[in-house]
Amino acid sequence: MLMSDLSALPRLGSILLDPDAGAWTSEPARHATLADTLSVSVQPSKLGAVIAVDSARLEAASSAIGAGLTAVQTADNDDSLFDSVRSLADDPQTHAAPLPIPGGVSNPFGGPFIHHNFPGPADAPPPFGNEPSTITDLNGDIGVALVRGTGTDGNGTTLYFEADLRFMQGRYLDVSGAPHDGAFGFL
Amino acid sequence: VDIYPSQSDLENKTNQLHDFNPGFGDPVNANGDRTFWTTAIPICSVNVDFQAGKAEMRVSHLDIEDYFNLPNSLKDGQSIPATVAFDVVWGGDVTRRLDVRDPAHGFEGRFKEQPATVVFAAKEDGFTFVSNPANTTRNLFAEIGRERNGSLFV
Repeated sequence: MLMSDLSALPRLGSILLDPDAGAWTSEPARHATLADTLSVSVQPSKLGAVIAVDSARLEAASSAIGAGLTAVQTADNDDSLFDSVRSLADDPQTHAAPLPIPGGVSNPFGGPFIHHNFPGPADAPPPFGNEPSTITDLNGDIGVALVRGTGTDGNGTTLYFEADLRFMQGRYLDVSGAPHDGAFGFL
Repeated sequence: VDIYPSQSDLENKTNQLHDFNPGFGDPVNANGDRTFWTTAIPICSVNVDFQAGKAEMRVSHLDIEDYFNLPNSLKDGQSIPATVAFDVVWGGDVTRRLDVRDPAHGFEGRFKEQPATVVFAAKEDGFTFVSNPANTTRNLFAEIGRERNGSLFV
């Protein structure tokens, strides 16, 4: 979508914005608020426990993820690590398709235009930084993690990975301009 | 998520073995614009406490594709089904706080640059991968933010 096309979309205006978001004089308490009504967005008490650097727990998480995948392989008996919604089929959101950001980079291999900026500071010029979201018409939270690491395959062989993982969560307008509350991952 | 057989291959982007991503989305307009490697995830798989500088994205059993290498992926070439799980945790010292208002690119927000760790696992026919513990992650760049863009950027 071109920037000029954005004006054609419904402008829901201030109802989507936090009262404190305009000034940015202090930490905004929240952005999108529809998630509150779903009672599934922010769980600070749980988060605090998760974020505490607990290497034992994180190692357990690694093992459990593997166990979860094994469960997928062997049976539908899902006893994986995660205690929340585990599949999109169980998720209360609608998953209405979002729009890509207008910007991005030309595809060097002739495929579709790449509506995405590389990871980097949000105040840097694109494409190395700048807008971190890959979807537009969003009012919410984002996270970007560009990391490298190691792991093993099923034969015990060490392999090396690089990952650019992101989330976008909050209120967004779908391709028809209708508002939704949802979460998206980039990987 | 790109997987390589060696550190040097990763550094040089050679001999890539796997490229896990959701592919391009469906065209959204007459120009054929499509979302890039972006897929819906359960809304409760993301937890954010922005004020505290903490966030987590924890997803299991996400069905995506393995395109095996970047050129094939960007050409939207052939792929096979794969299932991935990952746990990304943002936290620790905030190295930079910034407020950005960028009318030229249609977004504004408040951002905190701070490290993240990742645990990642993948499975497909004939292949499995489980990353080492999250505290072995090498962070290259990470941030959390609170933003609005597009027609919601006013």
